[in-house]
Amino acid sequence: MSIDLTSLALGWMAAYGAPMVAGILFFGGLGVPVPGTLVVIASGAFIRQSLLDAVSTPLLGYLGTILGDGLLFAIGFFASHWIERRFGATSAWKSAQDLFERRGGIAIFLTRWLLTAVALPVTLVAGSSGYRFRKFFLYDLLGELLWFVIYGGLGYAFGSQWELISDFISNFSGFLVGALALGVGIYALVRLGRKPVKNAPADGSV
Amino acid sequence: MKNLLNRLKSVSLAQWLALALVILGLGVMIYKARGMLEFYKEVQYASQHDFAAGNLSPDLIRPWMSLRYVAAAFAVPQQYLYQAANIQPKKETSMIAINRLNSQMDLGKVDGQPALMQTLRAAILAYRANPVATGLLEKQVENWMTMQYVANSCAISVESLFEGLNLPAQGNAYKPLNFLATETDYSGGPKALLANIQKIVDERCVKPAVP
Repeated sequence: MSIDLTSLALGWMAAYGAPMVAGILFFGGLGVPVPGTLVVIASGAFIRQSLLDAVSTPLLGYLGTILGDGLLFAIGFFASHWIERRFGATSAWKSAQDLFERRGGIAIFLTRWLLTAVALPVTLVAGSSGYRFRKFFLYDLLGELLWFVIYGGLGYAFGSQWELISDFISNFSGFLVGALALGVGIYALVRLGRKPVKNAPADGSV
Repeated sequence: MKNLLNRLKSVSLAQWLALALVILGLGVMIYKARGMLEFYKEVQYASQHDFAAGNLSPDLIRPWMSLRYVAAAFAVPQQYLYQAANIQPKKETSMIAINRLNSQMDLGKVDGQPALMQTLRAAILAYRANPVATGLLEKQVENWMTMQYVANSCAISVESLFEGLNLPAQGNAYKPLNFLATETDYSGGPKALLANIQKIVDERCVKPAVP
């Protein structure tokens, strides 16, 4: 018998119920590569099929996720001293901090439920860039709530066909991350193309 | 050629990285779009073959279906499917997709499809040729079950089930019980319907062969 991590997680969920869902999502929030979105979808389906409790599962799961995110933020925060020492004086780091202070909220919110593949680095950057915890917590609460409502709701709606919708969501989320990479790449190419290139000939002929 | 080489040399590392990001992004998007297309095809497949109509061909089984889904759609007791496929009955094995179960059991593929699909198809045909009332493995009536599923598992005629509940049988035998209660506006809703079916099951259902 070969058991992958996802199958193990599903087996544990069915065997140990809501506390296990909370534990898996806590470690997922911390950055351990567990299939968090799949667990939320499966939770919805398992609730529909009376395998999990309809009250304690979403509550404990949500709590586990928030705690995991909070702890990861704290790890980023305590690692910031090292990052500050190493990169703090560079203009790139300062401008990244400024950018995150201005636009970080939307990044935190979107990576909780839509672009979940990049949630880990965003949380670490939030913690290490001095982003205020209260603001992070607010966006985190809202984003994760949406994650639970949408994906858990889809699992509930699809019931015993939940694996089909889970595949779709995984592909959709990956598609969006690909689109984000494409957008950032094109933006960077356009910006860099406007700047004079250092080692280009002075007369512009190449 | 020389011009091209000079031009390439003038491209900075940052520009190369941005280009790599563009290519990576495009690659991921194409790969994931193919996955989404598969989903669309499966949804089309499900809508083309009305699974609520009953009497389905076993060839319609798909890798994403769970054992529970197959049991309800084809009205074959889960107990029977478990035994036919030599699977240990557990809560989660009932709920996970056939392809995942197939991987867990290292069953490999037959004609490019999970071998478990073949086993289940054969089990459905064998059951239809020689129906066996196993009793309800689940012990209690649940909202994912259909009237036909309960009837077949318990060796109760589906017509008498509908009569006992004062519900029209026409077109309703393969609908999940929670949908059936909603669609027929059953007095007391799905909970009352499940409770009333449970009463009939407690009185008339054969006992499970394996507890």
